[in-house]
Amino acid sequence: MDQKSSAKMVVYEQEGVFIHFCIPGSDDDKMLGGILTIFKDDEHSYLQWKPYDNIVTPPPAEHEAQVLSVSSSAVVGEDKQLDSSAFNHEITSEMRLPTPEVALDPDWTMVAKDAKKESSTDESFDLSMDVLSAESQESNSPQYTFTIPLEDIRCIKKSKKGVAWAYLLLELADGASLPTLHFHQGGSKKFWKVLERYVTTTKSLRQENTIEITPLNQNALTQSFDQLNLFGDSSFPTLGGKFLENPLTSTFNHFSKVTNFLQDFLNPAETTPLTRPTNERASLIDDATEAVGSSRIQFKQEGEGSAGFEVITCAELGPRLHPQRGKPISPEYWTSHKDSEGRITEVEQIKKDIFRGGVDPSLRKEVWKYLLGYYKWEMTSCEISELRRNKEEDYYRMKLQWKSVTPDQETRFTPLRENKSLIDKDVTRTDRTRTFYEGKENVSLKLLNDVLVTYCMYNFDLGYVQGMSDLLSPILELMGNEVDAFWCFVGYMDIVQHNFDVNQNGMKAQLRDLRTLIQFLDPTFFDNLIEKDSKNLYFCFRWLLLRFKREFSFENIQTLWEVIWTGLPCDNFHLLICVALLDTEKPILMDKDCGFTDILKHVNGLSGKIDLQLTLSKAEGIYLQLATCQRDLSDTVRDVVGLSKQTKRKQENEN
Amino acid sequence: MASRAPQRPNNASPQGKICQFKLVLLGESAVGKSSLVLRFVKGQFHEYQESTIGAAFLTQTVCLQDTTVKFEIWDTAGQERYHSLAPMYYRGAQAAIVVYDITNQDTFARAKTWVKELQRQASPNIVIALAGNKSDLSNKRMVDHDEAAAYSDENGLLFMETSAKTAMHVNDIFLAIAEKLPKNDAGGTAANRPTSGVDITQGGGSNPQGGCCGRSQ
Repeated sequence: MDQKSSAKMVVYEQEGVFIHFCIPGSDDDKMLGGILTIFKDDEHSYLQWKPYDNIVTPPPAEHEAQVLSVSSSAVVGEDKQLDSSAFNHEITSEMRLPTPEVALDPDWTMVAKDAKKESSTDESFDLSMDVLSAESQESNSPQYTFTIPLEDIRCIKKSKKGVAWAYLLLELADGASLPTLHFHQGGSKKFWKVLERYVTTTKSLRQENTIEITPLNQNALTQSFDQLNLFGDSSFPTLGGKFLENPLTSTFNHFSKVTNFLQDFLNPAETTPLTRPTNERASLIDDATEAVGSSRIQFKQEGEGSAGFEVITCAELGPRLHPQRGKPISPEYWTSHKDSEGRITEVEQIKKDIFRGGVDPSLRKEVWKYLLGYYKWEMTSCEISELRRNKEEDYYRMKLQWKSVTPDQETRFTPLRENKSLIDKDVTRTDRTRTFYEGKENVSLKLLNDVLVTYCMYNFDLGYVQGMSDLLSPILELMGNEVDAFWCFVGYMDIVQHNFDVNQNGMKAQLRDLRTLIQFLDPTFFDNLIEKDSKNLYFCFRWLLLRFKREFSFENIQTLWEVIWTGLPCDNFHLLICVALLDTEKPILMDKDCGFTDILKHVNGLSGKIDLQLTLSKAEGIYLQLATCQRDLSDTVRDVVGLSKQTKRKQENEN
Repeated sequence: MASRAPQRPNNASPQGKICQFKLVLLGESAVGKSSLVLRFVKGQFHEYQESTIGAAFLTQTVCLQDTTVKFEIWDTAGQERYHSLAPMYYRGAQAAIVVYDITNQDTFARAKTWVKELQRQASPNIVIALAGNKSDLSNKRMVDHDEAAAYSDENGLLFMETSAKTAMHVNDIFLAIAEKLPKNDAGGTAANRPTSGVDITQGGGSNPQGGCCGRSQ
């Protein structure tokens, strides 16, 4: 069989799930014990029940022969009338299941084959039992084994509370029923939990205690708005009640509503970016060049509290170039850099072009996923689909972890409670002037909240720190759904998480590196800062912590971030952007009357007034100056911008 | 509000002296530190005031009988994670407003620890005021007024319940601080230094509620 067997995964397994039946003409109730499994392959997820086998440790190759399934017709409404000869497997204490790896593999492969057939023909998925039975009929084993794709389940009727054990009655899309499953050894709650990762469940309005199923990835996303009753009076106000009654189901109901809403909301949306006026600023490049261009050697104290002195050679910085900025990469360009299977080719060139001009807004949603390491450049479309599915599942798993903590539990779960409280405080005040986040009952706020709390579950050691909501906000608005936003945010946090260190070490290190650069590039300015007791550069704190998020319009911060994410042209390019910004403001900052507080006030006040392209060009110009006088740079400077690494690599290549 | 002044708040009384004081705002995240400052300095209120990252610096001037008091206000980030930066901002401060949210008991507890820290580590003569903000939300009140008042008495703090939203007691608390601050040199490094060339009227000039001069008339 040419199945992709590597992709099979058991996500739920419960022993002691029984099928009850009575033999016609007899009063005796019979029970057949077995194992209920949910497993998935590349395309689908399946529910499988198999009886315990009392044949002692069969050799693996033969085991599949013992698994025999009934055809769908045998199941339809007949679970109480089946031939008694089929039920020779009453429970005995010796019943043992062979190890799952051995026992289940053969079946999966058969199902996988079937699934493949289905996906290629796009026919409605019939019970895969047909295939199973065809290949394994020689056994005299019970005929109750079934394997069905989860999306074939139409609804599940639950037992009422208070019964001895939970049981579930599954009805299929074609109206057939499966035998009632009795959870003698518990595990029905976990069953729901897992099931709800793969399908959307809705409480049936027609039948009591019944949950209707829609596949998570398909129908759920196309349900109409009205049907979801997103803003209906009955929806959110009753959340608490529903949640307590059935936390998992109601949680997922509400998840899906949010997803749906966004889907509807975003697809036709033309986001109108808030454009802020950019003040034209005279280029001060020439002045700056003059200021730092003279060659001299000087002694400078290295760092604070450092005992030693380092001779810093202020190398002859060449004239500062004004590199041209380019155009954003276009959809045509992007398409032409994909191979037939969807891999991205010439990645280095693409990065260069993004560095030069950013990304066309229509492409951002896709390109950012690569830039942030969520998608890998070398992945095919198929691999990406699979990754996306796994990541989605992973996201909802983590989301469920905190969603299922009850308010009562939370009273004894201080770290979670505190993180949630911090997030709540910041979500209500993040980018609320943007259409995407404005208004009191905006669902985007809930998404912002949920992604941030889920990130806490992903990285509980770090937790939520003020500033993260600012970093997430543009990503969420662009992605429009919490799963993609979450994983892009994870990628971004991987880059900047040291900004949020408890001891501020990451921020201190950046400020120190920035100081190193200014000291080298512009000693006159640096001296001026020392005189004003400002060499700690704390006025750059917000720039660095939020990667300039508060300094630029939404449109511009997108461009700036994607430029930085290319990692070009050197390490810590964002620090050179700081140098460029300060260089532009230097005439004001160096004024004798402009003290530390005035510098801070002025720098904070630059928000929304910075010319992005000029700044980027200047920052690159500064980089080129450093790169051309590499040999004269101090080790510290070279380390900050990663030139030592580059030199090393070059030498290795030459050797 | 009681304090309305038709004239620019920074108009120093011609014969009086000018004192300059450093004031720092401390308190838990989202209690309304920035909103208090914004109300005091610019007469504005934003329902969704964004969080403060790092610190913000603003100035505002109030006029007492014969003295003009210029506040240099440091507004800080509230989250515990940024606590380590706080000493930099309260170092050398002659006044502090420790803010809590009357609808949140935890913020009051946090305010008390800020007071302790200031008493232990800030300038010995620092004037500390406790502000129970969001007093417009009294239907959600969780911190008892009298309890906070009693605590303030015991610790020698000025105390007022304020509302940056309605402006209630905002100018008053700054004015009360200005009155309590020593005006003769003892106030600290900046006292009696004439205002420099920096424009300290920024924002305040356009807003008649910004200062407290009206009170002194």
